Parts: sequence; C-alpha cells; structure tokens
Amino acid sequence: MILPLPLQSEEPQRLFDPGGELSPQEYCESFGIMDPHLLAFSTFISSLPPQCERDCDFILRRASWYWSDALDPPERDSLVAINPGFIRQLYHQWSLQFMDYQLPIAVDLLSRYEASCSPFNPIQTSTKLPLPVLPPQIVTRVDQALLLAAQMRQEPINRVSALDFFAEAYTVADRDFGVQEAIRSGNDFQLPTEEIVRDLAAVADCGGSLVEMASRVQRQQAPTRLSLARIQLSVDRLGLDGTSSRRHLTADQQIDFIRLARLAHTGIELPLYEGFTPSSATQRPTRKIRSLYQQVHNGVNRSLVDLFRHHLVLLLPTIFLLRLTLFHFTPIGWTTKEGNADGRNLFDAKDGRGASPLNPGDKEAYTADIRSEWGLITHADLTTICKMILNFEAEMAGTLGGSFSLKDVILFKVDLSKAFHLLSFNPGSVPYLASELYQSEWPQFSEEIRELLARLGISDTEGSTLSWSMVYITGSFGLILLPFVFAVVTRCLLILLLRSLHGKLCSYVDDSMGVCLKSQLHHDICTICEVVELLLGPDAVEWKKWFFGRKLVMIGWKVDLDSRLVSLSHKNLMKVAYGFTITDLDQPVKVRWVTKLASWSSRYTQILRALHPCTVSCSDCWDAEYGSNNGMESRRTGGCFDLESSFGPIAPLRNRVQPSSRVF
Amino acid sequence: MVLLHLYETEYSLPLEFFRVMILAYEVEYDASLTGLGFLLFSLRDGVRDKLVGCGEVVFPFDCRKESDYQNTCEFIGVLLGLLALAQRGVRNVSLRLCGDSKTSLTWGLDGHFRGKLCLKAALVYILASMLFNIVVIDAVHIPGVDNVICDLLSRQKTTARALGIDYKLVTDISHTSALYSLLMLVDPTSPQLLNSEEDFCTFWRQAHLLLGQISSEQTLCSASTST
Repeated sequence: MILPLPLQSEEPQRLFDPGGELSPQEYCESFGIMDPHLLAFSTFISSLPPQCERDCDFILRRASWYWSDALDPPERDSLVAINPGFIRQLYHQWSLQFMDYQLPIAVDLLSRYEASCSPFNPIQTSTKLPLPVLPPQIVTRVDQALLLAAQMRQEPINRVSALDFFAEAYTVADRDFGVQEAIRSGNDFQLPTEEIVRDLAAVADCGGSLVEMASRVQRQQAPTRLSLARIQLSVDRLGLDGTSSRRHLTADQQIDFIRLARLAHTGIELPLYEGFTPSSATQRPTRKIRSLYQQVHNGVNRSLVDLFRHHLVLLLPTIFLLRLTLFHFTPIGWTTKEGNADGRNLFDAKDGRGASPLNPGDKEAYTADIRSEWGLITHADLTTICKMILNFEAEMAGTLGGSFSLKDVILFKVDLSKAFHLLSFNPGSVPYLASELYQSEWPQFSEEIRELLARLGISDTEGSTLSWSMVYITGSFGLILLPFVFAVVTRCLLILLLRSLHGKLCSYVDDSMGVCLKSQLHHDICTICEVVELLLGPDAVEWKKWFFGRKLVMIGWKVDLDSRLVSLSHKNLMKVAYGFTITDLDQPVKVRWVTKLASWSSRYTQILRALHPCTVSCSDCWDAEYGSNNGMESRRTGGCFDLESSFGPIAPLRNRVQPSSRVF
Repeated sequence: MVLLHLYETEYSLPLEFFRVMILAYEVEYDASLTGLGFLLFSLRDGVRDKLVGCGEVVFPFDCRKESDYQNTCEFIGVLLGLLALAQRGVRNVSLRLCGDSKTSLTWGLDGHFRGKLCLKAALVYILASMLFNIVVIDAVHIPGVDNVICDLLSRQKTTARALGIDYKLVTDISHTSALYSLLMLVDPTSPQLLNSEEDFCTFWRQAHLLLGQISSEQTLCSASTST
C-alpha cells in the first residue's frame, strides 16, 4: 500500500521571507525629493538609453587596448616586482591620455607569478621575529589544549610547534592590539600650524560661515569626486555585450542609483533624532578628549593632517568653532588598523557626555529609518565568496568544456582608497561634525592667526593658547549612517561591473573580491579600475591592497585554489589563539572583551564546524552570569562565553539561502 | 585552533563544501516527550516524489513530562531523519525539513542551538552532516494539526505497520542498532553534560564510532532494501 502523502493545503509558511519593493517614483515621493536635478536624474535612470551603432566597434577597440601585449617583459617584470605603484603609474598615464595610449598595464605579467612567490600576495610566512617567552600560566593553558587535542586525535601533538605558534600569536597580537606601536609611530608629531592656517583663511573669506566654506571646498573638489555627471557616464558605459548598464536596471537598482545621485548632488545629510541637543545649545560645552586618543594623538594627528592636505577634513581653531551659533563636538576615538601602525581614527558618535550623541542611545527606530531610506547592507561573507568561485568554475566548465582546467582560475581583490572619505557631507550638516584635537602643548597665536581671527570678530585671544579642532566634510567612521550610505556605493559599483567583467565579483564595504580566468585577469582588473575611477574619481583605488593569486586572503579567510581548502587567515587564527589564552577565567572579564571572543568563536567555528554546538555551553554560561543585569557590568565568569545569541547572529550553516547576498 | 594550525590541510574546510546541491530529500518529523516519528521523502523538482523511509521510536530515556525537553526531542527527530537517510546510503545531498516546531527547524537549518540540553544532539548532528555531506538548506513550518502521521507515530498511537508502510522502508531503531545507541548517546536527561574535557573526548570518540557503524550499516541496509 502506498501511504497517502500529507496534504499541504496552502502555500507553506516559509521561514525568513524577504521584504517588498518600491518603484523609483514611489521612492522619490516617500523621501520628498524635489530637487530638479535629482528629478531629472530619476527620469534619466528610469529611461532606456539609445542604441549606438558603433557599440560593437567601440567594444572591440577597447578590448584590443586592454589585451595589448606588453613589450619588454623582463624589464617590466622586475619593475613590477619591486614597485606596485608602477602599475598605477601606467594606468594613470593611459587614463590621462584617454585611450590614445595603448594600455600597457602589467597585470598579465603579474599573473605569470606563482602565488607563493608573488610580492603582492599577503599569504606569506610571517616575519621571523624573536619569539617571546610565554608566561607560565599561558603555557599551562596551551598544555591543557594540547592534551585535549592529543586525546581527540589519539596521538601525540608537537608541543614545540604549538608553543611557537602561541608565542608568535603573542607577538602579532601585541603589535595589533597595543597602543605602544602607535605611540612609537606617532614620533612626537606636532601640528604644522603654519600650514593648517589655510582653512582659517578660507573661512574668513567666507565671512565666518562654516557652511559656506564647506560648500566652497566641495565645489572646488567636485571635478575629481562623485558627481551626477560621473554617475551618468558610468551607467552609460558599455559593457561586454555592447550595451550600457542603464538598459538593464531593475526598479531596485534604479532606486540605488537615485540614492547615489542624492549622495553626489546633495551630499550626506545627517539625520538628527528628536531630542538631539548640539553642544552649542548647552550652556558650557564639554571638552571631549578620550584618554586613548591622548595616548596615540601624535599618529592620529598626523593622519588627520594628511586628510586635511587632501581637503577631506577642515582644521580650524577651537576658539572659532566655540563662537559659532551652531556646532557640535564629538570625541575622537581610535582603533587598530591592519597594515597601519598609526591605526584608524574614529568619530565616536555614540559618546553622549555633555551633550547629545549624534548616534542615539536607542538606535533601533533610528536605524530602521536609515535602512528604509538607504537600503539594506549586504556584505559578502565566506559562503558568498566560496559560492562565487564554485559558480564561476561551473560556468567556465560549461562554456569551455574540455579546454577548461581548474588551474586556469585565479583570485583577485581590489580595495578603495579612504572609502568613507569618497563621499561628502551636505554643507548644512558640517557644523555637527567637529572634534577637538589634542596636543600635549599648544603654540601661542601667531600674528597671522590673530589677524584672521580678528577678521572673524575674535580679538580676545590674549593669554589663550591656540588649540585646534577638526571638522569632517567627508565621510567618517563612527556614525551609524555611514555604513548604510556607503553600501549604496558598493551596490552601484557591483551593478556597473555586472556586465563588464568576464569573471565574478563580490564586495565587503570597500573590499572587492573576484575570480576569473588567468587570461582574463588583465581585462577584469583594468575594467574595475576604470569603472571605479570613472564613478568615484581618480585615486579612488587603493593600489597597495591590490592582490591576486591562486591563494588569497579575503576578508580574513584564506582561500587556496590549489589545495581546494578554505581556512582562517594565519593572522586571524593567531588573534583567536591570543584572545582565548589570555582570558583569565578566574578574574572578572569585561563584557566588551567577551563579545570579542564570541565574534572570534563564530569565525573559527565556520571552519571547525564540529565545534559549533559547543558555543551552546558558553551561551548558558552567559545567561547564568549576566542574564539578570543585561551584562552591563563585569562579573566573575564560570567558564567561557558565547554572546552570539545576545549580540548578533551566528554565522549561518552552509547553504542557508541569503536573499540579500549579491554575487555577480 | 591548535589542530587547525598544526594539521591545516586536515582541519580546513573543503571549498566544495559550499557547493549548492539540488534539494533531493525531505524529512517530515514530530516528537513527543515519549518518542518520535519521521517520514523520509525523495523529491523531484522540489516536490515530494515518493516515500523512501519511515521511523518510529520510543525514547530510551525518561523526560518526566517536563516540557523543557520538548525542543530537544523534536531536534532529535531531525537528527534521526538525517541518520536514517545516511544509513540508506544517501550522501552529498541537500535536505528540506518539515515540522511543526519552529525552534528545531531553526536549529536544523541555521545551527542557532540554544540551551545545554541539545548540546549532544547538536554535536552529533553537525558531525553527521559533515561526515555524510547531507545538508539542510530549507525548512518549512507546518501547523501541528497538519503533522498528523508523525504526531501519531511519536505518541505511539499508531505504527508504521498499521499504516501499511512497506517494512523495507522502516528504519531499524531496535535496541541493538547503532541508531538506538546514538539515541542513548544524545540523551538530554543524562546528567553527563560534557562539563569536562574528559567527558567531551569520550563523547567525541563514541559519536565517531557510532557514525562509522551507521556508515558501514549502509551496505547491509541497501542490500536488504534491494532484495
């Protein structure tokens, strides 16, 4: 007898359904977009471009430029090997002369390097530094771990090698987490007062209006930054099939380009929540200098001066800002940054001491509004990357048949330079974006500065010292808003590249990771650079972080096409090893540290999947210790923790369908 | 971490692990505090094609009518469904779960395990999923009232035989089978909750051993089915 199958009368309820859609017109109406330029752009983006008869001819010509074989290989090989900037120079030379010059970019030469010997491949054995002697309590912890490992494998484990690994982790973690290196790197840098007077002179020329000055700086910089004209050129750039991206945009994608046009034309408008009080509205504006920033201020100030030189931030005397009718101060924060001893400056917008923070304490509704206006953030993750590779290989095998070999495939990644700074704030939002700088000793007012301040009506400077503040006119790290608006750029770039690459590409904020055939690498890299610079302006590509190879570290994961394995990058593995071994289970542990451990756990259990359920016991431990007080205070731990369930999602098991993931 | 560093090739994840496989089977299940029942279907174009297996078991542990154990019992249904497929020789496929317990569906699909009670079942589930490369990629929630057959099986209100299911399709979960031993191993009521490294290692070895047995039973099972 055949068992009657249970009937499912209605469409079964699917778990995790995606949301709905808006049309471009509805989007414009919802957000009150009335500006004639933006409305014209909305019409432009929703209309079909005319077909050009010369399309095919143009495509063929461009292909021949990209594919032109470079001459004099040995000489260029050696140049490329010692100087990645050489490629950039060649590319610029080509783009400046606008294709009259045959593109001799050396990517095809680079592709001849074996990954293991490529000077650009970040998978290198770490520098052999003298390894530190591990503290006895850590050696004990490592020995316990080795015992467990030996029991699981039922064979002895190489203790010396394991201890060396942990010692190396200590070296790397010290370098990454400690501020000592940042202090050393700061090298007692002092603000070059004579140079930074530039902005004070400019604001004096604007009659003391910070908004007018920001507007003027942005107008001056406009030709080399994101603009409506650049967006229009980009969407009408012809892809591989001889048609422009505009022809193929879906309603969602059109909305993304309208969002991008808003960013280009209006700038980032800072949303202020109800009840927000700027510093200027408080009776005695609090001076906000973070102690960590004080420690590493030399290096931070140096990087801020670098941004100032590129017209990405303004540097103005604090006394001038304090006299404005509208201003808001936010403290400068700091964190480590891979490959940069100075670290990364943060705009600590959640700090509410003295006045309201720019990021509200209750951020749920605020974030929901931002999300509806700027769209969802969709980051590539390990699954996205691996599926992209496998899909590409399958497609190539289908297309090329027997002539395709898995060995023909290569990975690459490109990075955007100073990503958030590629976007500008609306001048009206600029007064809210000030931060006071710290320097152990400020100089006296020079005569030139006194004169400029006098022009601004500030003459009571006798006996005061000259302290400086910075004001962001371009994107900053720390605002809730910024990741959402930058995600618009990421999505639009992916859309623009969709029909222009032979390979596939996915993005994580400003990092783009791709896969293609070795023979296509030349073309695809050139195309990415061309599109990025066409849309975002020259210097938008961070060439120092441009890599390719059969083995590549991508957003902290090591992907090896030769061994067909994926794992944690060596650096991340060491970070995790360091984190777990230094945690003293007998002492109070800060919640922030535990969240860091939880985040690392979620990483390594993506690779060591069998240990994933072990985070369950950590979670119970968390509930037992912290459940009653929301975890806001340090408490004695009973073991290890898993805060994934409390602070964010655990990385999904394999193959979970993620509707928002984009792989082109 | 130590093992990943020292034996990188052995403990890294194969790239192929991320390959999307066609949805080939569905496990419909339900559990009570005394037992569970499941039905295994093969799929064609994502739609049920035919019944390929069935299972019913009375738990060898006593949940003492405590509802705390309900989610774990349901999740054990997912685990046994997966293992029953593996015992029939199924490998390298994707799976859909169908049940009335949202918690166990989420655990099975996403691995968001919660609570200590499910820890042992979760460890075996992940190990089995890796060993047999059977991956859950879809989960469908059905109302309890529609989950009739598995509900009856789980409450011992009916049997596969009474339902007229071909005996060859009924999974052997008798007291001497490896599946039954695994069921005892994941007993959520056992006080041994992997609190020490020794407990963990013992459990780990037993789980590996039993999964190995299930893997080898595949041959017998396939042979008996074909005859």
